[in-house]
Amino acid sequence: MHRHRWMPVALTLALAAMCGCDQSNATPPAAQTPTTAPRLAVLSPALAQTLRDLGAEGTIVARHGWDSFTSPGIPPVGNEGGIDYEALLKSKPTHIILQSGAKENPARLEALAAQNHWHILRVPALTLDDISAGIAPLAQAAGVTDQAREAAAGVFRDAFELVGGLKARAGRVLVLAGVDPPTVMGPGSFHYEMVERLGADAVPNDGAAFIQWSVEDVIRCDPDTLVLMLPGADGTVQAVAAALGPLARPGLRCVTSGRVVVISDPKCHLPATSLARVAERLRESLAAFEPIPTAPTLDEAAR
Amino acid sequence: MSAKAARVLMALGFVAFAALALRLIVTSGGLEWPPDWTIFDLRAHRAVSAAAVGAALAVSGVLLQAMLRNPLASEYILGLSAGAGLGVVVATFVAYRVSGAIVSDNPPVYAPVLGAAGALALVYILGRRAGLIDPTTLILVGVVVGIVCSALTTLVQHLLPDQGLAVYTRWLMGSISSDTPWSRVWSIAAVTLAGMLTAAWIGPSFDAASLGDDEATSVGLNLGRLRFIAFVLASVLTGSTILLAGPIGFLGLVCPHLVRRLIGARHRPLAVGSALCGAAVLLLADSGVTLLTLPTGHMPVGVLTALIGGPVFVVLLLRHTGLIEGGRR
Repeated sequence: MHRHRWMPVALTLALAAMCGCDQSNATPPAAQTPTTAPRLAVLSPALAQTLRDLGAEGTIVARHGWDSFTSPGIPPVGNEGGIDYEALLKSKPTHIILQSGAKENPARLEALAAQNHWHILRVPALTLDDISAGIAPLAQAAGVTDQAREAAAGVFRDAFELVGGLKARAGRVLVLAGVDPPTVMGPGSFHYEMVERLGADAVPNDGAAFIQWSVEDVIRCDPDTLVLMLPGADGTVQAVAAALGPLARPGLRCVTSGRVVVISDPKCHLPATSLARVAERLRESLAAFEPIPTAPTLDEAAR
Repeated sequence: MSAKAARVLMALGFVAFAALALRLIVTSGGLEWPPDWTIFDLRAHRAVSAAAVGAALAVSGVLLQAMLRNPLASEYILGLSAGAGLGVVVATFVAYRVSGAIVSDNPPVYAPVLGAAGALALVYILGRRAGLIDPTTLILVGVVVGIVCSALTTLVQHLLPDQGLAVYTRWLMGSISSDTPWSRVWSIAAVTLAGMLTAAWIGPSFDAASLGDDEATSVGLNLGRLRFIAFVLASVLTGSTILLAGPIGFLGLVCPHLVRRLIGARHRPLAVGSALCGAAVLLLADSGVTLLTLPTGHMPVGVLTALIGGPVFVVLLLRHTGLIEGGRR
């Protein structure tokens, strides 16, 4: 029997582990009063950016694991694929902000939210209209003033005003998120929508939001202007050639004529209000191009 | 069972229990007693899940190594994990096409089991040469089946909105989920326990089968039935682990080898010891990834087990092929 002397110790440890927990806390805490300062756990880098643009960064108490723009001092609490519930509980949020998608709320999140009186706010951010519509609920959750909300909404709205003559200057615009292999931002992506909103003609006309092409597909498309959304890229002329990668070789018309725009804004892939800055940069670049000479009509050619 | 085997099993039981207790007090960046019942519930959920997954993978490894008479066999190497993962994503995709919602946290139970069984059947059929199982061919076929299943998983992923990036990360690299309902965790723990007991029960038959087909048949063993039981059991156990944690690499390979060195090759104590060892290793690995907080949060536990298990697999492979000391000549 002396061989089993550790067993009582082990059992005691197990009981201690179970009894050491304060079960009284299993009952829901008292409901928070409406005057409680908002504490937002933001499980979306894009929505965190919109909150920053609203001047409400101070309300963020937990961030998405891949959110590299929010202060690293704010604890990461995982992502929608796997929420770190313990870290989430420790951050003591009042609101859980999630980006709307096809995925439903995890059952445990719903249960913890009910138990701790958290408000789960799902904000869509797939299109530019979604981003614009998401400003108001985010502002309300963060408790920002109406003026701040109107200012952010105004900046975003103004950035996408149509510019006369941009279609003639930019022609058919192809937006790439990567060059090797070429990753096309197709219909349904907010980059594609941005080009169209600014008054240019985005290509291709059909396909998914993210399309993986080959260099040959790009040559066949033959866009008038190429827009590269490469966060952190160097915008100098030499760097643009390097950024083009395999697209620099085949003598693309848009490349040889210098109609390449590199958007290097680190936040250019975030579906957030910060896209206003990206839109302004894109608008300036496209407006600076000379109008594309149109092919002569048959009558003009005959004359 | 020998006295030495009993002592080793008790020691492994104590280590597994200590690992379980440790997991209950580990939090991000340190040790802390669970401050309330909710936190205890969260940690206990992960601990029970990790113990069940670790034990199931290790028992599955024992069964596969015994069934195929190949010390390099494991659910990860033979493509079972990839097959089970493919089963999950296909089921999720079909559900998405039907309902328009991605419900990937708790896929149907049959999906990973069918995926694992399909992959194992393919490996078993293609890995035979002239009716006999060739160890090298088996491993090569397993690797190929695993790669094909992973490629198909990526294909299905690309057909989903956002290319399924946020949703499928878990199915690409193992990570213990906190979103699985307790009822499912307990069910899988019960399946694991039943699987371990069944493996221990048929252990002596595997001892006889390890002598060779002719010898086993001559002592009255029904090899076909034995392999079928092992086949179904390995598929069910692997599929169960996928439901709780996605593909966790190398545990099914390393744990049986570790325990075999301590206990010997008899399959009854080996199955029980491997289950305890698997549970302990995955509990410790999960404690490790919980302690280690990266700027992006916690890394998936499958990364840690693969980082440790990969080199161990290479050593085992080299020993098996006699390229390093201590191996077959």
